[in-house]
Amino acid sequence: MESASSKSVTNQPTPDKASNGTVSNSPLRPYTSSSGFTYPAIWSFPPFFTLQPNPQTFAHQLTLWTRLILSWAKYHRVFRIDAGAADGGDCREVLENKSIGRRLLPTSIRQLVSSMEKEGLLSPDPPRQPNTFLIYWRKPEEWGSMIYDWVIENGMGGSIMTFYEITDGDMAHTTEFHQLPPVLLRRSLETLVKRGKAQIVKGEAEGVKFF
Amino acid sequence: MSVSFRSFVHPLEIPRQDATVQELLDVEAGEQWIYGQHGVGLYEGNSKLPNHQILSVQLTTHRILLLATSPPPPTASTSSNPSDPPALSSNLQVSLSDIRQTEYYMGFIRSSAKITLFLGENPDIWGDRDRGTNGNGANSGTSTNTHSNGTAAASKEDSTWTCNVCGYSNPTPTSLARSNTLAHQTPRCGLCGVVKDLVKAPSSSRPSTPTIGVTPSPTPKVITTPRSDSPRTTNHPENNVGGEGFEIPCPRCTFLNRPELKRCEVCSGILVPRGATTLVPDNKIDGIIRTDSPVPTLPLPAPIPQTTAKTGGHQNEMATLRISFRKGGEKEVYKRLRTVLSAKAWERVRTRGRGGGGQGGSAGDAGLGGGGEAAVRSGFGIDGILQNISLENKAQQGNVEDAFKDLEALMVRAGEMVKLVQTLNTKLTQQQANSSTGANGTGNGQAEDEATQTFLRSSLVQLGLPAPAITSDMVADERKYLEGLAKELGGLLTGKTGGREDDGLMVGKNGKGLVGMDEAWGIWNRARGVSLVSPSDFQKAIPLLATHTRPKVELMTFPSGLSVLHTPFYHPKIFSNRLASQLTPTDSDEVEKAMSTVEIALTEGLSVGLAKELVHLVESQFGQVVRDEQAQEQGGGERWYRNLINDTQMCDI
Repeated sequence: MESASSKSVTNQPTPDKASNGTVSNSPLRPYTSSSGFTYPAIWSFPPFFTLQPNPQTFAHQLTLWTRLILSWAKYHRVFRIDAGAADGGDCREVLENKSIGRRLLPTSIRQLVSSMEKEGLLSPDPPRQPNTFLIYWRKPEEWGSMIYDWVIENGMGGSIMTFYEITDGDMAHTTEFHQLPPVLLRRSLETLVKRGKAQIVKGEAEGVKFF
Repeated sequence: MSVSFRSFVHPLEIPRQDATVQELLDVEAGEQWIYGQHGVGLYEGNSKLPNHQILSVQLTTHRILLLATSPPPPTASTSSNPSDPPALSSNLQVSLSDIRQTEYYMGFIRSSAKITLFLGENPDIWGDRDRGTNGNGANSGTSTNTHSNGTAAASKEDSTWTCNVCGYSNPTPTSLARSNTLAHQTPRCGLCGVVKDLVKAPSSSRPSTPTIGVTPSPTPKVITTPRSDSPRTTNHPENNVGGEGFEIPCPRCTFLNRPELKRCEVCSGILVPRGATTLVPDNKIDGIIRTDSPVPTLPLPAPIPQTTAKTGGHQNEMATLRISFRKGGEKEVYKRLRTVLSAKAWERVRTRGRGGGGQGGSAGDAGLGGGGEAAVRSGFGIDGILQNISLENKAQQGNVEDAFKDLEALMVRAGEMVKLVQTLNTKLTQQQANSSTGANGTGNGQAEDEATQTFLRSSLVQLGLPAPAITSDMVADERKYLEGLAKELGGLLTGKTGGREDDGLMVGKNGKGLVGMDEAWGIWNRARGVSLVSPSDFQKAIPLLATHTRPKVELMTFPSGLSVLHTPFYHPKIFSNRLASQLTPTDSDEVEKAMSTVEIALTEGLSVGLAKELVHLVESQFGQVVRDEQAQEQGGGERWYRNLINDTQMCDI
């Protein structure tokens, strides 16, 4: 009987493939901000700022948000997000779309943050508290190998460098890890120590010796 | 002080030797037999009564009957010397109303189980012992006096003695027991065990010091009437009417009023005038002992006011009677005795009797006012309250019965109404058929005719179903019944029955595609008239509805638990698709389309509540629409968009 068949079936509409940041047949357009970052079209879609009750939609919405925050933070070199603040702290720009008057509400921000933490893309700093997080748009391992490569390339292997020299030294201006937060730097170097490629030296100013 | 139990134990006359217990019952007073047990013996206090050792005890709602199971000894019926206490007949009765207290003794080794009855005068504030069986109005309305007689006073004399050593007031065995068993024994003090002989002088009946546990009653009985059904062998020593100066206890608050007062000083309750007892004609005064009594009785002297010899009449004096159960059964008897005692069946009878006596008295005993006041009396006190309650209950019951009669009449009429509608309907159909076959007719008149018919028919449909409502007794098995129900309901909902095409509840011009179960059930039952269908049958018929309706009517349950019937137009999938396409912008649109719940309700022709439920259902089931809750800030509740979130890919960002 036809009557019994239709209820249990949940068929999601097939998503339209679109590569240029827009959705087909939609009047929504990507938005490029004054800083040069291009927000995707979905950022101008009001329901995007309401976490959806439909579980499938919700999961997809979270991955979109995660992706958006990481790329936005990377573009703007933002390392922290504050779930305790109503507007998300350093990330307030991406969490609110003033042109359509929508923002991710604090409860939604918490949901998003906890989901990102589960994926290892955020790490609480200081540890074991639910509010302020480091954003790992690059993982500490990546930062560590990047620093190590840079040190070896510049012939400083075997010598001792201070933390300040790595992130703010004369040679660091051109690197990606310029002005990396010290906490993140320490976590990155600790991954190198684990791999046996560096040793942290304690002194007046903390230093690190690369092998 | 102790009272002889013979004041309370009365001989029982047996019509025949082989009479059954049932024949002994006072049916008129509503007495009923409760329980019986053989093999019992009697004690008074601690002493055996030798003539009463092979008995059976019969418990009724009013009395305890003690019946001899063996032929009575010859002495039992011959004694008639008035100076001696007459020997009791072997068949005895104890009125339950005289039992003040009971005690249960389990038995120990060779000692049989016993039930002790403490017998005492009923502390009846009315002093009215009329049991209602006395049909003579004048007699029952007027109370008669009893006076203490010499015998009772004499037995009273030595009823107690005070121990000289410890001062304990000992009860002495009564004359009966003493004469039988204890005559040779020297009594000993119950407390210290000193022999009575050591007591230098027997104490008087009124020891100068107050005796332990007994206080003289300040309230003498004013009115007493001997039991009509249980004449006594001896007169009541306690039924003493004092002379002048006796106070009258208020029946309501028990305050002792001066005799000249008509109403209580404290509570203004109407007093029972002593005049009612003292002013009765002479033949009533000395007529307390019914002369037709088969038992020897003492003729009374003329009434002498006895102010000094108050020998009894208060409730603290109790005689003890023990029933020894030699063949067991005591537990059951005691249990039932307690039940019967707490039921107080005799009280009810007495209440009735007093009311009747009062009326009789007012008719037959003019001038004394006793009867009239008896009628007034029933209006106050707990008695009065109880009476009022029972009257109210009766009235209410009557009302309820009347109401149900009305309802039944209504149902009969309703059935007729439905029948009438059906006959009218068939007539109309015939007429329609005739007029359509009859070719000619002025156009105007015919149109008018049709309009009238349509109007008539529509009002008929409002009154009921076009066909008789199907009931469970019309069809054999339940399956067919439910199918019949489904067909009928389907016809109601879709408006397609018997080839007629009308507007149904859910289909047609005014049809609502989405109907709550409660609404459908209500309308259906209204159409069915008197043969209502139960909710459970309704629910059972719902699944069959789809096969009997065109378009299909199906059941849908919302996440909130609300169940509705819907036409295919509102099938969730179809609705979801329709909503999504409505929300898809056309090329000319500059922004994404959005609709609030209210707007959806408007376009779909639903109530806002149902629209909300339906959108939430399709949102969670199909995900074709997404919500924007922050639009609330701009007013208008949730707004709905097509689902662009799922359409956006990771690579778009």
